[in-house]
Amino acid sequence: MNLQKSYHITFVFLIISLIAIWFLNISLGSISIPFKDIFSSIFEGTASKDSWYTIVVNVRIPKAIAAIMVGAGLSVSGLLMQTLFRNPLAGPFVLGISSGASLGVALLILGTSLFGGLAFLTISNFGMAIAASLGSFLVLSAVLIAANKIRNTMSILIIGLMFGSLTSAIISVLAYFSSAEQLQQFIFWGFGSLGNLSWNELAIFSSLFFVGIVFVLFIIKPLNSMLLGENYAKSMGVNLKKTRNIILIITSILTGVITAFSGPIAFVGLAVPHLTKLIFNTSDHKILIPAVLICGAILMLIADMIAQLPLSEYTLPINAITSLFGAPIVIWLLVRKRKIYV
Amino acid sequence: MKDPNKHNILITKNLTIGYADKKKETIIASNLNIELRKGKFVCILGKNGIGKSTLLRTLSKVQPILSGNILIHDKKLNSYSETELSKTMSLVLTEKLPESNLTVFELIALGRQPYTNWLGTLTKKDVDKVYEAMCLTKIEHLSQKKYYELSDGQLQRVLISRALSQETELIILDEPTAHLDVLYKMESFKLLKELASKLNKTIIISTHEIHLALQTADELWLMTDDEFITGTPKKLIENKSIEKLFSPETVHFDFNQQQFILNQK
Repeated sequence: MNLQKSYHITFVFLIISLIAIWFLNISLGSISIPFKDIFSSIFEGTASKDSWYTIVVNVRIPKAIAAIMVGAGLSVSGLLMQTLFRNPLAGPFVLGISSGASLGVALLILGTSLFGGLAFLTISNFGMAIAASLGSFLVLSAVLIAANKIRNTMSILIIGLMFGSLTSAIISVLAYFSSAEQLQQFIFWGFGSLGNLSWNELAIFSSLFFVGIVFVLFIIKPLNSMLLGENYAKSMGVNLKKTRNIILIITSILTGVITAFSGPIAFVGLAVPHLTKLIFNTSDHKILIPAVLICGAILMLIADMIAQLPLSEYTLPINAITSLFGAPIVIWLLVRKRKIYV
Repeated sequence: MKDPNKHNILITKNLTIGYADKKKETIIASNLNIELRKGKFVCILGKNGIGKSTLLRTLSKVQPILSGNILIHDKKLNSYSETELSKTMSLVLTEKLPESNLTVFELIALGRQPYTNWLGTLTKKDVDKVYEAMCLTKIEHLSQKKYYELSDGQLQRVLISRALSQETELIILDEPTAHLDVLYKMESFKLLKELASKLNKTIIISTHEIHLALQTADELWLMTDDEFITGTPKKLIENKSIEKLFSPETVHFDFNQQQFILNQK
């Protein structure tokens, strides 16, 4: 008797699509490079022109890897939030966690003029990652404390939105007092960008990313029991406090590090888990987590391809692209007659 | 060796239940003394707001004890770890399940969590146990349905089935028949009674179905404003304790018909 559905075929299909889209992503850009040279750059370490090789290896591949991590990380954070808050509309952005990360970065970039004493802090990407993680951790903890006091999930979402407004207000105040140069730096960061990452920065990014993902594997089982609500989960032997803290830490690390390196990117965390659940039609996190990781990566690669406007010199802000496509998807999910499930 | 059925699975000593926050304690009921043997089907009766759910929540460690002790298998409830307790006691709660895409099989299989590995992988034994639990509650045909497609009566059976798959000696159900029609109510009581006697499970439920409780329960716990009375239905009718459940101005217990009758002027 086959009681558990098998999703092998869907997974194989998704992984093949991911690889294909990754290659497609690398082969598109402001400068057209023939496929042959893309392949030889990746596999043989040479290309017909040296500049092509440099572009592929030092620009496009890091960007594509960053896209995968950003998409996968934000999507899995969204999934964790939705299960933790038992609310299908939870996500790093809706709950103000991304705003928290922005606040962290704002304090670092803009705050140095306000708090002169801290000027010795170099604004490295690594410093920004720490600041963003701390910011997102702060907001997430605040939301969680509120969530423990208030059972009504709608109120929790509103509280998340309020935290978002609060942080943007603080950012405005900081912006008012900072220099044009700092402001420009912050605004450009806020557009979101997957490029501009060196291999060294990518190494830091990916190590934090993998720490987060490894932690996720260990909470698959408690995540599944939380599908029945906290009281049932507890009665089935789940250590709620520990699980909640792990979810908190993972989400703030992932959201924090992603926001630091690529700016605040909206809607991926909210929309991807729902799209994945449409494909897989399950709530089992053993299936959902790998599925959400792959789907998030694919969608981010596609968003990045749209953002770089193939064959043109321009690159649109990635944050605008994810919102342009993400917001209608979320609206569509809500308007659809079928209910949406956590 | 002691006869295992003579052994008390659940004992409470001078238990006080209620709510506590930083400012004050709200005592709902106190001086609760219970001695419960294994394999009994227990119904808790009492009017709304008397503390039935609070008692169940305290017994299941959802809510802290205000004072006194709860012993399960002669061990204090507070010294049970979550994992240990999950193999001793399972719950069926009144709370609405959060929305999800779980199938009936997956939902019942979650009851195996105390026994599965870190990923929650089901072994052949686990699948067998899930199937066994579904057979006991006669819901095998529903296994691939999504739980939100079920009727209230079917969902209740699924939740009982989940508790059974958890393989615990003690099962606690909070008002399991609240939303069901008469037939399902009767069937639920019959099912719970059978589970207690056939599988030697100790089943504690809170309910407002006095007549069904009088017919099926091995033991009743009556919660009134100033007393907590335990005993078999027969004994409680004989010593007229059952009358204390409701205010005598409105209803009286008819000992011939064995049911409460509304006072007619």
